[in-house]
Amino acid sequence: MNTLMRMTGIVALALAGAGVTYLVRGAPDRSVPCDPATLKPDEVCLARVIEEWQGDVLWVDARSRAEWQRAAVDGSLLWNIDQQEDMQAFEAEGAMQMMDGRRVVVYCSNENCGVSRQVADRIRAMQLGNEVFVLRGGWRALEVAGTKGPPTRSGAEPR
Amino acid sequence: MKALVRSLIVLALIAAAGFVAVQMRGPVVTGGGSPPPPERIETTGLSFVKTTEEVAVAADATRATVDFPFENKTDKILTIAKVEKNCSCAEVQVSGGKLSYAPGEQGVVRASYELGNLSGRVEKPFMLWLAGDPDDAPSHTLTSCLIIPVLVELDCKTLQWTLGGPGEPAKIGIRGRHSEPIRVLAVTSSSDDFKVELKPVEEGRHYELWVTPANTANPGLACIRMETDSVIPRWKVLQAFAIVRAPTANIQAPSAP
Repeated sequence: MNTLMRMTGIVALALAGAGVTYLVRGAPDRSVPCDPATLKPDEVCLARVIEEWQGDVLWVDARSRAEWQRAAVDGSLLWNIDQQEDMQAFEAEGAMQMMDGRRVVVYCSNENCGVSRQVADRIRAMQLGNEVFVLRGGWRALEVAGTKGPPTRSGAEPR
Repeated sequence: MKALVRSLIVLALIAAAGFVAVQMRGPVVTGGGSPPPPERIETTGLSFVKTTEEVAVAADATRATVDFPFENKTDKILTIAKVEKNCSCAEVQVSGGKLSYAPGEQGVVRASYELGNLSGRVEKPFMLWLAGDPDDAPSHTLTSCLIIPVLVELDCKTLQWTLGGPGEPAKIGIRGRHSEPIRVLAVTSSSDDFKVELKPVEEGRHYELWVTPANTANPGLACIRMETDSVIPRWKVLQAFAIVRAPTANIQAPSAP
């Protein structure tokens, strides 16, 4: 009984300390860091897309179809380099979506995947003239941003 | 009871110390961030001969295999815990299934790919976690760089006309780059608003595809498909686009017809 009381006391104190820290400091910041000074010429931070461009971009998802179907930016276009996909269908759908001249922002899983840059290169090679960017941090940045980022969908019928 | 009080006091001191440390650290910077880590020089983990391997494949290849030899040059046993491929087209195997390597042992990571209709330079990165790696920090990123020959080239992928501007005919040059001639058999447009006409310059080697918009009064888009007699599936159908649209601030000036 004494041991139980001790443990309960310790846990209560730890929780109290954590609670006070949370109240004073707020929720921990889990956003993906994005220093504009370190961006490559074709990269963009999520903050700029949301704050400066008001999210008015064509989002292109360069992940696998399964990942895109599971969860993605609402209204995003799937465009990857999986050999099982129809690259020409991606081009055709992409051309239609880019008619309005919107900026295009491509994302893949995270900052290490590299596929988004290849997809961005393929979009530029179409010579439609739209500005094309790669999102620093990829889907991880979007997930972590939550409601501060663009609306996302999960498990819904893809476009 | 005394022991409980002592424990509580110690815990309170620890919690207070942590709180003060957080306060002193200052606000978390969200607008900035640390620069990307420099290219990794392996002093821990497996030592790979190359982390980016370029492989040229035959024009008619349907699969490609890329090997990444490595050695454990550390003084401890290293175990490969996880591989993330980023592509359903890839299979990655490690030395017949051997995942743990003692100091001095060598092995090979082999990546195999289905090529489908891919062409040109295609990079396929994948990540390797060693036992003990954090979830978001794999020890190694390996990249297969596949060079798949381009047998037919379009000198322009999209023809553009400005909304309300002149609607003069424009052309796309089609050139064969293969040792064997590849004939363009038929050309179709997805939209009646764009007329297409194929003119051979040298049969099997060089064609001109002429496109004329019916008018430039309305925005429009056509997907133009060219069917060839190539025996290699990825070159059987080529695709280009014709578009009439108004220029916007985000678009570079349309290519002059």
